[in-house]
Amino acid sequence: MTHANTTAAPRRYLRTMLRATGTALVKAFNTNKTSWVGLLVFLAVCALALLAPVIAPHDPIDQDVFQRLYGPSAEHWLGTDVFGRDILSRILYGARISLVIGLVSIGLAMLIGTVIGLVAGYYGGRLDIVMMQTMDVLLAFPSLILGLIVVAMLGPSIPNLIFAIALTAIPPFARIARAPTIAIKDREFMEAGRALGYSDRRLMFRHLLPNILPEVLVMGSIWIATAIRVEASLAFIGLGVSPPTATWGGMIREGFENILDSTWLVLFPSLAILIVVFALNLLGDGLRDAIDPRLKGEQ
Amino acid sequence: MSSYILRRLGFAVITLFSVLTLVFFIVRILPGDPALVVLGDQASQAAIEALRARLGLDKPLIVQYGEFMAGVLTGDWGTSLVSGRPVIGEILNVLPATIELTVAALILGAGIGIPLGVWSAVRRNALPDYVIRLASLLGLSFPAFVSAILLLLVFSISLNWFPVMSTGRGETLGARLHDLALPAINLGIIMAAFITRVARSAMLEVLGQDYVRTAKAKGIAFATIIWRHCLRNTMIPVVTVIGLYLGVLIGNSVLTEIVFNRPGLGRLIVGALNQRDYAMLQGLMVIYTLIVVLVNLLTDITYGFIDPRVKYS
Repeated sequence: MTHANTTAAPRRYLRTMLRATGTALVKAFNTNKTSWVGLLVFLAVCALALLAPVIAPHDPIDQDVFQRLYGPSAEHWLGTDVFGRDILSRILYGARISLVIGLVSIGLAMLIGTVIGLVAGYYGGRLDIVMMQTMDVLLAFPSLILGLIVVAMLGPSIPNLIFAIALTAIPPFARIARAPTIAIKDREFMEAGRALGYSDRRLMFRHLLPNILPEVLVMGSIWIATAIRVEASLAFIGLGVSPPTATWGGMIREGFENILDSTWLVLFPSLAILIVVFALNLLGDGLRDAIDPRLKGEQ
Repeated sequence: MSSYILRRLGFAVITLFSVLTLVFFIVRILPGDPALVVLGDQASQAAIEALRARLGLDKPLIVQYGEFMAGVLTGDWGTSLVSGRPVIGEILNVLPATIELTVAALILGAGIGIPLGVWSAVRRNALPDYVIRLASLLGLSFPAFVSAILLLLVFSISLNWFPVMSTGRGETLGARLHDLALPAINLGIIMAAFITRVARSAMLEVLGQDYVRTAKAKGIAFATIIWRHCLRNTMIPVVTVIGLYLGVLIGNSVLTEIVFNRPGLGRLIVGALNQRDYAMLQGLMVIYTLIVVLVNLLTDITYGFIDPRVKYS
């Protein structure tokens, strides 16, 4: 094999794999129109989070003791909190924390879980039993409790939260990657690859992976929603990114103390969480229905 | 049936053993030194050493592991670093309140979720189906503390129908139920959303089976087909999912107990976290493990009753 061939092949392969996955996803989107709604809302939230420094009307951690607990007004559209901070600005900045933790933790879980599932399913035998038993044990433990303990021990910071949430999300990805691997690994094209002397790594990552990628990605979107919910829950318990950084769960925690007279403190961040999580669920749920082979031909 | 139960029991013991091992190592592998976590950065080296000795952390890992396992089996789960009372006593004190809450949520969740899921499947792609699907997806999107706060705002603060704080210790049955209502509704609605979706897809699968077509061809009334032929087959995935859902239910019950300020494991765990009561945290992880393994065992046994085929596989 020439040198040019060895560098061009991975690129060409990557392009083919992305195109195939992309086609499958676009088809899935068109089968289930609600997915588009979910995607658009989610992208809008991402854009708002990215543009937060430009569009936020106030500084998110700037305190103003003369404007404490103001209700919604022309100056503060969503009111101010107990320190006189602008709620709208804090929600916009809080979106960044939620999205970063959600996307990175699930990206990691997806990567590690998929590799574990592929390897366990491909090699089978004792390795499979040990790996999947470990996953089942992790799965058996309530994820919020596991996250709670890990963050409590490591300390609440963005990397630690990402680690804790990723840890709880690895097992489901391992499971979803393993099942199709077992179903596909003995098909003719895999036999042919083996006969041609391809390495196991090449067979797994070039020939098996593209077949399971759409399913893993769809599950990823649902799990980003879960990760955002878990992050907010941990922040509500007091294990979120430390104040004064704005997080949605942390805002609700602070607002909860003044719930009797300042309902907007909890209402607006709650709504923000609900919109993002619902949009992601709409997106993932529609796509899942569309790519589920059992439902084929019924749409 | 008894050999089936014995086999499941064996699996449960193995899982219990592995999860307890995991709990043991999680607490020790994580970089934070428990003694340092308990005492804080300012503590003197002598104080840290003393606490390490008291917690048994100065012994070799294998000895610690042996003592931990022996302690779990004999009911000696250590003493709380805050109250000085045995951990197991503190846990058993509030456990009934949490069980009461989760069982009530389970009844509500199944009672609402299964009929809605079946209805949605039967009226597939009609208006009720769309509404139920959208509503259940919305229900799943609520973090438990957000829905709890909204319920509290509407029913306790605005309408004043329920107490803002739930004591969980009402004298009469009526008072207890009144106390339990809002937290149970909160957990139950989220659970119903979950069960609705599973019941719907399970029912759709059953409705496509040949025996349903045969039953229709025989002219059996549609309601009878649903009740006698479909429902029992729909139950298997539903029961599986209820078992799997337990982890989520436990997490949600923690959040619900915090919002409604209701005694239970949830408030115990948050208290232990705030006061860095490391012995209590470990004890709580043990009790959660026991609950999860026990419920999974019950789920497996329930299968045996619902589906006679399971016993022989």
